[in-house]
Amino acid sequence: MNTIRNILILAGLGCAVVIAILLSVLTGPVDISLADILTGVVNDKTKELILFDIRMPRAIAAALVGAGLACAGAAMQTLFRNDLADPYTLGTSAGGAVGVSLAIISGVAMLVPVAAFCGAIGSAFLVYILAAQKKRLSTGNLLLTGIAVSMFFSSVVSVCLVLSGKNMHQIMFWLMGGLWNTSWADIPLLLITLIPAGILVLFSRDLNIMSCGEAETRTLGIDPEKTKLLLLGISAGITGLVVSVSGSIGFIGLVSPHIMRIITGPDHRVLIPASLGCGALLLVCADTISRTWLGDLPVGIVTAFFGAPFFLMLVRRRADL
Amino acid sequence: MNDIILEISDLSAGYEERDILQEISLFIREKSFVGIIGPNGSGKSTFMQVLARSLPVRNGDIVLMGDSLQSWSFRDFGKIVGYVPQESDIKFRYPVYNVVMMGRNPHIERFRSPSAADHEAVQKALQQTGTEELARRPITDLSGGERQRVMIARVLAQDPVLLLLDEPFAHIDIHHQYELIRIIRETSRDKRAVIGVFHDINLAAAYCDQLVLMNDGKIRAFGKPEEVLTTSLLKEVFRISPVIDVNPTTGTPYVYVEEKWKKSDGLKPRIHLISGGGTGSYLISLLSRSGYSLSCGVLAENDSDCLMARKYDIPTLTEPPFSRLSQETEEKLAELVQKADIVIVTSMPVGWGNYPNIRVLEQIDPHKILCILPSSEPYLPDFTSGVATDTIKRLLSNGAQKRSNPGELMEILQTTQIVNDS
Repeated sequence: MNTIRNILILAGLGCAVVIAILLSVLTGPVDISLADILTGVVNDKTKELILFDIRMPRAIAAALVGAGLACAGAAMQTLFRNDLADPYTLGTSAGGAVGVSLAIISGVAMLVPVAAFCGAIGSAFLVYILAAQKKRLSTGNLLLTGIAVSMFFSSVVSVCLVLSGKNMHQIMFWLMGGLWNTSWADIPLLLITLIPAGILVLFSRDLNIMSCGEAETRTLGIDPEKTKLLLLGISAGITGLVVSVSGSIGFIGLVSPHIMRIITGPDHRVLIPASLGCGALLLVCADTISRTWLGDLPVGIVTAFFGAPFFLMLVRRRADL
Repeated sequence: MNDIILEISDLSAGYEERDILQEISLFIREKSFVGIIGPNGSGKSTFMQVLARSLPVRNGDIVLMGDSLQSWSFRDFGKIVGYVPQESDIKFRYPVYNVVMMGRNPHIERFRSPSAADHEAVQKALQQTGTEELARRPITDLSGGERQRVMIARVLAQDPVLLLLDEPFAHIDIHHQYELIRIIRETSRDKRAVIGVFHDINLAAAYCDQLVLMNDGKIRAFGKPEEVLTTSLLKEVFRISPVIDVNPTTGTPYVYVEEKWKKSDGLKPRIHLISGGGTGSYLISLLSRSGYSLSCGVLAENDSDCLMARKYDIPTLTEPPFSRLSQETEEKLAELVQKADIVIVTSMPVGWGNYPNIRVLEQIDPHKILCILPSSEPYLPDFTSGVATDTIKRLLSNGAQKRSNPGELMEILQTTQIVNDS
């Protein structure tokens, strides 16, 4: 019963993502009709360019970024056994921002993606080193360390903002997160994020047990320290890649696993793929809205603007149960 | 010596800098049921956490089935050892069935699905713990006791050789508590050793083969329940004044804690109680604890009233069982009732042997006699062909008071002014 229901949910989500991408490709300031696509478009070079080299890669990138953030978010929520954790709990967002700010200030804007990746991964690693004691990692320590490191890096970013002068808007835009620079070149990089997502599904039984509390994990045949490292590594890796492409887009990583947990339940075998689908769907929609009707506002603003009230609604409904 | 599955020698462990456990050495035999008792903070839970490997060993050795605990891979460890922690706080809405299936995890190969045998084990565990009806409900919706039963179901499904329980019955109602401990003891006899931390000493004494008494992070005593539950050890470790009795249903030691009572004070009336056959036990305890200076008798030496009086250290006149009152005792009795401010008579069985207890009352002022008798006749089990009953009736008509329960008696006593003879 449950298995069939879950397969249907996953299939439905998959279809929804594909449809959302297609609709997104058809939507935008320049009118391109379905008929144009069906007839091959060819008669207009500009339209073809817009369709295949601008909208298409951007929609696919949005889907992959959304999926990556959702997967990293799910991993963090399991690690912390707390559904308020998100991909940025380890300071990845602030760390990435430091990298980006330094790159922009030193005038090597070319290196922004690399700097973002290094900053994000570096921050996660730093948090881990600071929080681990004698080969054991307490998630409480990890959470507090993450918060402290985030705050520290945020202040560094603020200093950079003050010093950046006319480049300030570049840093600001990165901080808000957006997909306006994406091209086909980013897609292979983003596709890599699906590999760790697959690994999480393979380890779903371990993750289920981990999410139920650490005390009994060892007697249930699991090494919690290894599992924590796996979750940390995967989450930091995905977040680093995603952030290097899109800047730090908020809310998707927090809200997607949350929504799916309400619909599919907490079993990671279903939760992880469902969160991927949900994150992809949400970000494709948000990005389409932003670039079509909101003058290409950074999509991070859109996700938070629509996401927050929606999330509140979910939380209130759940409290009634 | 092959039946030893766990061997702990000179273990110390703790949190941060402090050693909570010190010099712990213990053998656990297979199929034994060992209970750990001790006051709060004595290290019981810490000990369990060390055995479940959630807390590292600082010094000493733990050897599980011939191999050091650390050398076991977690997967193999999970096949051998099951653990139910004191609190398990699952925040996500897993269905109960899935939670119990987690117990099978060590037995399921990675990347494989649970087999029919795994489902069978889960089903059986749900049945044994009475959680079948909860199987589809989310664990987060259950009450504390139901959750604990699910946790026990999970560890039964795991089917370990060594089972570690940390106060598993804290929130469970008495029916399920006994049901579960019986199941656990049964499975222990069949195939596994159980180490359980118990809050309830009497429960532990009734079901465990051996008890470990912990104090200040050390093992204070280890042995059979009757060897560990001694007055001196309990007094020392728990700082109580224990009374050790026998549990009538299991024949094992049963620990009561003695009630503290007020010292008798001279301002309250002196009371002499005439009772027998258990009719005065409650009054003896009540009046003594309320601080009255009390005397009793005459009672047969094995009478339960007499045992009670002795427990409260009350001056009591006694005679050997079934014998008539001697002249000497009767004189002493007369003296006691004369001196008392109030004499209480209960609805005791009266035969010719103890009839003098009643007869003596005709020598004193009937107004200081209080009878605790049923509201209507027969007033007492009379084996004197009505002579005793007639005496009682005479006393009542001459001014003795009659009440039908001890509560009313206390009211009278509280309002009674001491009639000072002198």
